Amino acid sequence: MTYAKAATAAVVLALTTACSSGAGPAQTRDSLVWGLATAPNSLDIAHGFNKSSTLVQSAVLDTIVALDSTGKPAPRLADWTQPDPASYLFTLRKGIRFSDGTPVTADDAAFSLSRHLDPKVASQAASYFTGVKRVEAVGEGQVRVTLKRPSPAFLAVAATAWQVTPRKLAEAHPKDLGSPEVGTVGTGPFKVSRFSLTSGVVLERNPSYWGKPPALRKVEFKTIPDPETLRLAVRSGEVDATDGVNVRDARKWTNLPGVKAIFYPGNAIAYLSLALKSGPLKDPHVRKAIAHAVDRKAVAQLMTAGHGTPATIMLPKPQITALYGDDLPGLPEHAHDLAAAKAELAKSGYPHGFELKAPYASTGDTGTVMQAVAADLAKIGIRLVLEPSPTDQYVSRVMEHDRLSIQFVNLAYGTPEPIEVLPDLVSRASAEPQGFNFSGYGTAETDRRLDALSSATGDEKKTQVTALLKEIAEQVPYVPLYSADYAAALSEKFTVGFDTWTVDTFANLRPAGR
Amino acid sequence: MRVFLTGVLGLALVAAVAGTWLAPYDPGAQDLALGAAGPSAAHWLGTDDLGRDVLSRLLAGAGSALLWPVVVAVCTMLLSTSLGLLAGYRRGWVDAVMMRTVDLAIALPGMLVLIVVVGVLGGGYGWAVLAMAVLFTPGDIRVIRSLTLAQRELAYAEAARTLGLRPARIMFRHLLPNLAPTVVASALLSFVAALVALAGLSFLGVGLPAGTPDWGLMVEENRGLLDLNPWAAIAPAALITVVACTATLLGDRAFESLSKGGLR
Repeated sequence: MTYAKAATAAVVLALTTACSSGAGPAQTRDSLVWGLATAPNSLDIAHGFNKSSTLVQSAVLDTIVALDSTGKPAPRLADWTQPDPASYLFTLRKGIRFSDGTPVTADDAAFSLSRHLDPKVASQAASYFTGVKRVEAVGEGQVRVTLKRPSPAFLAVAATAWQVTPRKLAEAHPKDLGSPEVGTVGTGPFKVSRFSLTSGVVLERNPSYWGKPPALRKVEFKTIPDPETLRLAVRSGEVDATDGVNVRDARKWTNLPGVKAIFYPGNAIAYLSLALKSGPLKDPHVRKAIAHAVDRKAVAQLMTAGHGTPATIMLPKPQITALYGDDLPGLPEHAHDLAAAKAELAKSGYPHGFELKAPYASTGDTGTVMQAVAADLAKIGIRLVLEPSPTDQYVSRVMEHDRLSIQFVNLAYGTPEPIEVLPDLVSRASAEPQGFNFSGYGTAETDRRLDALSSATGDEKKTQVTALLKEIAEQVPYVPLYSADYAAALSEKFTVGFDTWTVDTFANLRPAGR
Repeated sequence: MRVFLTGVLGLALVAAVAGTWLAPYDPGAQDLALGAAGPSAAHWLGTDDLGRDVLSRLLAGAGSALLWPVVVAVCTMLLSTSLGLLAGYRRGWVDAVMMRTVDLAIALPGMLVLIVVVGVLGGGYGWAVLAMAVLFTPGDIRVIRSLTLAQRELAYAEAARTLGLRPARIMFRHLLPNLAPTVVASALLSFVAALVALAGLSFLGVGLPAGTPDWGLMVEENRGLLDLNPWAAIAPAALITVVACTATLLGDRAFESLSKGGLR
């Protein structure tokens, strides 16, 4: 009798399972699998300030303010007033709680910012907040931030990196908050159910979320490093969505059945950095010759497959649009012109050309770009000797400013503020090891202008930015190459909008038709 | 079969020697407007994403694809034959030291050592070839030594010693010809292993610089073009496979023929 019952139960269970499997596609999905190209290493921006980590963080942790679809600061956990140009008073929403049910206090919010300035934390976002003089919880649910000097970019930076976590948890774990062992607690639409460096991340809907409850019950993040394997996983339905789409491969993604490929302006700039401290690149005529010789239109088409544009200004395109709109300033341009390139080279100390070693990372897009650049430069007598290195070794050397030459760089940024980018390019501080000024260009005058820009607003900001861009265009420490779109792929079973600035993807993701 | 194998290897050799001249286009010439185009009358195997002619790059790449494995095979053959004969013939402490060194060398993970030599230590492709020859040698030393141990006890070797011939003469004039089938077969297997390993290094991006016409590098650079121009990746991969299989089969045939008293 017992065996008969067991057998009957097994048959019923099998039939139930079969029926539910068969009915699956017709049901509305409330869980989603997101494919990542690299594994998130930390759910705390202080130790995981990278693309995949911040993507997961955006679903779990709210920043104090947000950016709207045009890149302007907007309230999120708090609204703000500005009592004077160098201070902000944030007032927290009433009734917000962390996902563990504890209320969010002004003390939590204040500590979440001030911890980035603590050397013991060694925050990767510390450079964003160097202008902060004091953070203090004042009054009922209010935080006052006093800056060393006025900084119009502060709110944009806060929208990127001022994530709010419980003070008690962050204080107990200055160095390992957000690690798989400690995890994190936030006020975002989801809470962490599982986090492993090897098996990925699973998030569940946060019942304490202060906003409209997300349509999804569960989001699972799977890491699939190989682009082709990731594409096949999306194609087969094993993965529902991914932001690991290289626009260069756009043609492969746009024709996947049941999958939407989505492109939107990327806040990034791809360029050549010309190390001008020594050798032929020290000669401005050589740098101008290189700028004229490189066919940016062809490189842009090669690297973006039509989802990007050749760059002429050394800023990400969304930042240019946010600052100037359609009224672009007139800056010196170095159009693709071999005759002009040869003429510049003839005026240099190397009229018959020269040979230059060019290290590059042996994986990724760098090799392809450098081959195209080498072919262009060969036409005017400059012979690039491409030297491959393993990617980790290459990045390590470049960040140490070791063996800098002509490098391909593609940097992504988080805010619409040029002050986030320009110090990387031309400040003398960034020309030191670990800085991003790989050209080594920088003068007392550029530092003075950057200083003025950091507190400039309105037309003064435009004037300062334009002056710096003009100097870069004239001195050519960099050759802008292209601005590529960001790309994502999403199963047609789901819907969401993507744009450059907002990070509400997971709160807004919902099954199609709902 | 022999005609077929010889024909394939002959074609590969012609491509290796005269590939650059036979190539219809400059293998490095880019035409970005023609990127990743499929086969056509102008470009029989299409183009890669930089618009370079795939057939021309295959022909130009045959030289480095075949030359360096030949260098590895010859170096391995010379080293392993000399040291294997010495260890097997002399025995005693020479044999003991050499065999323990061989044990140690065989325990090393070959591909990892090569990646470290070429990638991390910044060695060039020449160092990779040299390191590969050194890494392939221990296995062959062990084979040659064991055969030498057996041969040195045979009557003809005993007679040579009784006649007072010098050890070097006995090893290289009397023992070596009897080991020739194995030496030749091992050399061809070393060639195959080097062909695949060097292609693997290029595939991993730690061998030759980007843009060099090389079969392994072409597979790596063009594997993203499988839906646009699959020939750009399939053709070099197929050539590596065909040449490797041909050399292996020829090695078998050479061993059989030499064992029977000479190539037929």
